[in-house]
This record gives sequence, C-alpha cells and structure tokens, in this order.
Amino acid sequence: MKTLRIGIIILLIGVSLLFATNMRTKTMKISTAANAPMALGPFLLEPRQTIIVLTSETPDNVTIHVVPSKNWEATQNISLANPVFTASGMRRLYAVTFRLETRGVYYFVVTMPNGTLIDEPALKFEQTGLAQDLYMISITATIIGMAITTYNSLKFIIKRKRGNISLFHA
Amino acid sequence: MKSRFLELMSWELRDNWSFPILEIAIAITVLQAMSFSTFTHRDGVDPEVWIHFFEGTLFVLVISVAMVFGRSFGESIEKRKLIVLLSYPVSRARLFFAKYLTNFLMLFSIFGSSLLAQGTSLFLFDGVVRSMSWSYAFLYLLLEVFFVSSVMTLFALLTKRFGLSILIFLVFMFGIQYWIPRNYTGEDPISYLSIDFACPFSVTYLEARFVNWLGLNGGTQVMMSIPDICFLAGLTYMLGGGLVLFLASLVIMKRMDLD
Repeated sequence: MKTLRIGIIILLIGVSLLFATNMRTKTMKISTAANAPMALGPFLLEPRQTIIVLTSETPDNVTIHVVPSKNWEATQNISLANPVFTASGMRRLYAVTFRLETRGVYYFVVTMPNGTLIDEPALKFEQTGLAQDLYMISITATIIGMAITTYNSLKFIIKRKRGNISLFHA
Repeated sequence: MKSRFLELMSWELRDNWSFPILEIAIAITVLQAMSFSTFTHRDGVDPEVWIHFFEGTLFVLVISVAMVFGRSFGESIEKRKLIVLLSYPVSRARLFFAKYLTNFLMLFSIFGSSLLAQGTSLFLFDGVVRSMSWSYAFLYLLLEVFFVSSVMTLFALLTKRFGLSILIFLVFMFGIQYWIPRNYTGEDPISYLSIDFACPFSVTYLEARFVNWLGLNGGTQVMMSIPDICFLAGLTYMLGGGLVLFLASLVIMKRMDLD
C-alpha cells in the first residue's frame, strides 16, 4: 500500500504542477528603458512564447538581440556573444514573436546595422503560454504517478478478491 | 524509551496523516508556491524571489497547521483518544513531544520541499540567487512553521475542541496579519510582527550581513536599509514567541484535566 500512496502523491504533484503551470501563463507586460547606450536587463526568462515590441524612436532600422547574460557579461560584444535570437529591420512599435528554448537570464541588446548600441533603447516584452520545462516535468510526474497508481490499484483489487483487505490500512 | 517515542511518532503519522491529508497538503502547496512566483520584475532580475514564496504560502501554511494540529491535539482530547494513548503507558510530556515533533517535521518537509522546488528552478538561472540566501530562507521557513504550530497547539490545548480552536486560530492569525501596519521600506519594527513580511525582509538583512562580512561585494559594503532593531523584533517575535507558546502548551498538557 505504501507504493500506491507514493504513486498517488507523485500523481497529485504532477497534476497540481500542471495547474500551476497553466496559471502562470498570464504574465505582466514589462516595459524597460535605458538612459544611455546599453543592454537592457538582465531578465529571468522562461522557455515559452516571447513577444518584444520596440518602443523607442530609432534613426534607422535596428536589430534586437536576445543574449544569454553570461555571454554578454563576458564579452560585451554582440558579434562574440552568440545571441539566442536576433530580429533585424525593427522600427518603433514593430513587434516580434519567438519561442525561447531554454530557461535562463538574458539581456536585450539593440544595435544599429553597423553593430553599435543605440542611444536610450526602450522596449516592451511579454511572455505567454506554458513554460515548456515545467510542463514537461508535470506531464512526466503525472504519467509516472498514474502508472504506479494503476499498477498498485490493480494489484490491490486482485488481492482483495482473494481476501478481505481494507484500502490504505492494509 | 527511544523506540517507544518512535512508536508514538509512527502512530501519530498513521492517525493524523492518513489518506488524503498528506496528499491534499502537498497538492495545495505545489499549486500555491508555483502558481504565483514571478522571477522577473520591471527593473530586471528579482533576486528576492522568496518574498513571493512567503506571501504565497502563508495562507496554505495557516490552514494546514490549523487542520493538522487541531486534529492532533484538539480532536484527540475531544474524542478521548489522548486518554487511550496515555494508558500506553507514556508520560504526557513524551506524548506531547512526539505529536508536536511529528506534525512539525511533516509540515516543514512539505513546505521545505516547495521552497526547494523554487530554489531548484532558480538555480537554472545560475548565479542569480545566492545559495546562502536560500539557506536563510529555509531557516525562516523553519521559524515560521514553529511559530504558527506553537500558536495552534496552545489554542487547541486551551479550548480542547477541534472546531473552536481552529476558529480562534484563524481569527488570530489573519486578524494579526491584517491589523499590523506595514511599512514596505522595512524600517518599522512593528511591521515585523507580520510573519510573511518579517521573513523575506529578515532574509534580505541576513544576506546583506553575510555579503559584508565575507566582503563578497568586491570589497564595498552593501547598504542595509533594514535597521538591526527591526531584524531583532522579527526574530524575537517568531523564535521567542514561538518558544514561549510551545512551553506554555507543554505546561497546559501536563496539568490539564482530561476527564
């Protein structure tokens, strides 16, 4: 019966985490601006749909890069920082959507076509949808919990048919 | 002697944490702790994520403590289970310690696991939150569970009733939380009587102390806006208050008339 109870606990953890992940899908919109030519952030981002809107006036079409914080802090150079996402040809109020693959700390770097940081960058971003890693963990826990519970319940039912055993106090 | 104490703990686990009490407590804690924690805020990384944890879990903690300790002490007196247990034979003090310790450890492990889950997800954001800060968060969670458990134990033993003790406890806990004025700059000692306020601010205070002590901030001192008196007020209230209530409960348990 101990295994059955462990299975139920794992199943409940999975289901409640699935609910929690679903409840986290509504996030606040975050506006951010810098007073000088610099990278915006760092921000803790989750692996889900990310929308970025450029809100500052730009003299030309600019490029927005999403750069892992470690890379940016080590190099401070966009050509060496290996951005995980790049959107070029952006102007004021242009929006871009992409799916971030890995949970982590990121900077937003806005550059001119020649690679220099633009003055006083400002943008708005929002993350929507299910966080993929939490979703996967919850699904995995639910499946494992369900398998353990089903197996032990069947075992218990077969045992009960052979003799009288009361549930959870056997 | 030792095995008898463990037997009492095991009996308490079977009786008080039987299906589906543990399952419900775990499910609600996961929901509460993971649903509303946001790791990003307007100005960038929010290193004080445990503020959301303490805010988010206080309600669940109070309800869980009310149910668990209310059943363990209030209901067992009401239904005369305590008399049966005392005929084991076992001293009242030993029974009290066994019941209190079992429930306290179970609750701390449930909420501790939840804090650990949040911490683990944050460790994916390597280096954002110091592991020492999480250790302090665990310490304050321990104090929080201890204080709330002691309050409920006292009410349960005073009233000897399950329902009544829960009612008084909920009015006391949420009433106190509601009526204490809060100064969000963290400079008012009175605010620290509110436990979901005191915990994160005290963790911030301890972290700043730790960083300054070891010179981790590149030799420069971290500015601390929280005065020592505020930190001490929170610590005295939770640890000192919890201890006084715990001892008062023990005295009541030893002297109370069970007939």
